[in-house]
Amino acid sequence: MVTSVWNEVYVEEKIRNHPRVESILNKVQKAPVYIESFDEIWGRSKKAYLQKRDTLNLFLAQKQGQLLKLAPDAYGSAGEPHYYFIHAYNCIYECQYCYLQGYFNTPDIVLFINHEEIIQEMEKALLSHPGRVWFHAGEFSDSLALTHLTGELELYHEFCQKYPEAIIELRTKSVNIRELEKLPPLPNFIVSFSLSPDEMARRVDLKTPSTQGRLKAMDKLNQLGFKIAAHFDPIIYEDQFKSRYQELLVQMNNLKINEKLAYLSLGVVRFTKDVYRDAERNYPDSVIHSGPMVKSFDGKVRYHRPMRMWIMSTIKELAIQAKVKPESIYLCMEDDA
Amino acid sequence: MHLITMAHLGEAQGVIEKFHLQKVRPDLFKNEEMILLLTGEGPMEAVTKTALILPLYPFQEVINLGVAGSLKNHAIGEIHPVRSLYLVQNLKPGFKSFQVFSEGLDCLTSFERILDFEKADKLRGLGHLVDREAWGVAMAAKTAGIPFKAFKIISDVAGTVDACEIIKEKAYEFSEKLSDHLEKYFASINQKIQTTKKILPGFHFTFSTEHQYKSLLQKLSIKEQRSEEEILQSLHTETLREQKLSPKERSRRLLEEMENRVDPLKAKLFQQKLTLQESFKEKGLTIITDPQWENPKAIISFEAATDLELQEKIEALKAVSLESFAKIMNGDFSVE
Repeated sequence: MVTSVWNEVYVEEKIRNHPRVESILNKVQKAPVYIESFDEIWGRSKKAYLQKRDTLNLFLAQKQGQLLKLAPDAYGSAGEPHYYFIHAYNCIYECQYCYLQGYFNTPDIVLFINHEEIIQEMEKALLSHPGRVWFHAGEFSDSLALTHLTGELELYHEFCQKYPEAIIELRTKSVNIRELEKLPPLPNFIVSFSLSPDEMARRVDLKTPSTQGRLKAMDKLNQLGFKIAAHFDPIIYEDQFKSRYQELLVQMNNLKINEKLAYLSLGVVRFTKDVYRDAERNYPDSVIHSGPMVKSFDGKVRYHRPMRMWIMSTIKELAIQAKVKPESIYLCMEDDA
Repeated sequence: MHLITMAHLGEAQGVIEKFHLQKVRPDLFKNEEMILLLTGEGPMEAVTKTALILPLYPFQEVINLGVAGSLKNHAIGEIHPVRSLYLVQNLKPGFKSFQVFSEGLDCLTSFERILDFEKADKLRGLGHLVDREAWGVAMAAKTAGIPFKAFKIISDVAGTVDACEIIKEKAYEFSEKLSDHLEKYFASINQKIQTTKKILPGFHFTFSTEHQYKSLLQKLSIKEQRSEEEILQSLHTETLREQKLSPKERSRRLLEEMENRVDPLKAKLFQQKLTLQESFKEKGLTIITDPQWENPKAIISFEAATDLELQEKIEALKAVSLESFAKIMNGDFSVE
């Protein structure tokens, strides 16, 4: 008997014959329940975040409404427009600081299959700005974790081939790079990995590949000629943070990753008030709560300013020592840093 | 006082006998510590009857007990705490749901009996169990601000046509199991109350400092990956106890020690702030910085009664510097 990671699979009636749906259903090997629209069930009533551990449902749907969102200031490197595109809701991983635990009413995953329409929106956005435009995947879901099921990478890759001024960032903690490896590298198709020191990742990035696994995937893509980037975000304080980030940066340098990084973003752990409350409830014993948190300039809960600036400047210095180009380092979500 | 709600007399019989409840009216039984309410079947009945009884007694908790059909092959006769409660109407979930226990099974309270497998199939992704009352009782309890719990005994497989007959036949057996479970639940609550942590002798905590103490103890335990007992042993509580200090002062110093361990910069920032304030005070000026260390701007003030004094203060302002403050706010310092 085949067991599935999915509790139930729901498919919108209007896309039941879509080839992408058929392909996904073949891979998940679970008889679907057909429904009119995903939101008649998904998120209608509050489903506790941690229920994803034992009753995670999958919805295959067609995204209606906004397919592309303008990212907030300080989202990526400054001075250029940044958008994120919405190809999925929710994530198979369980990072204790993740804002998704308070964002949707449910942890159930939705995979949208109308990528062609998303790409049309990206084309419109591209034409509305002179110069480079960034498109980020991974705002509401890991951008690589399920690509063996969804098979959409090729479409976005083609978009990058067609429009050199468009830059796509696939942000991930996944080592699922099989689909990527089938594609030729492009200078405007960037794969960025979120990294934390081993021990911290083990404590807070639940159900994700280890840091060593992520480094291995980065190394492989780097060797294949892919443009890669890294996010040290969120940085969580621990007394040994300096030595641990130093060790991570040395490992990256040994793999010759640092000199090739398109960018390295640094961001200290932060929460909206609601997500902080959710994280306290879901993970009361997590190290994310052990630091001196205050309500900061934008209403978010973070370490006090001298502490986070000290942490970021310390790690920035370590990164430069480990051959990361200073101009490729940016501080994330600090308005005046 | 506890309010126990159950749907029918048949499933409530065990509770009535075990807890020696006296009949007050056909749907109400009581002793000195609990009231048992028979709500009848269906979410509307449950919410209405529960809401009507709640204002009449000082309830500290509402507990729903009863049978439920399984959507996921659970063994008949098993009792489970309810984790989440959803209301379903026309096989679709309603907007409001309730979290009950952090672990357990998810229960759907349905407006209709689920007597065919096709309907049960449609509900399988939404929960593990189907009942007819729990959501209604939860709605009334939560609206009144009273804690709510629910335990369900698996009575049948949801979608079975003859489920009702099975439940009727086994009603007394289920009812005995539920009453045993309720007895164990009460025993576990009493044990928890007795083992609640005692506060340190020789120290005085107010309501807010006690909260602060517990929160810091937990933070240190997480940060240093040691038990709270080990953290307590590592603090200088004995030294503080030996010193001639008031219990309140002892507590203040203990909290300070704990805060310094949670925040590696706290002592350093405090010292730098004192130095900064002193340098301004020497010139007759006052500097106020954000106690939370968040606002990168400081307030500088002075008093003056005459033009001459004002000119002196303006001259004094030219001689002070905010450089050290800006450095602190930008994290430009070293920490050993």
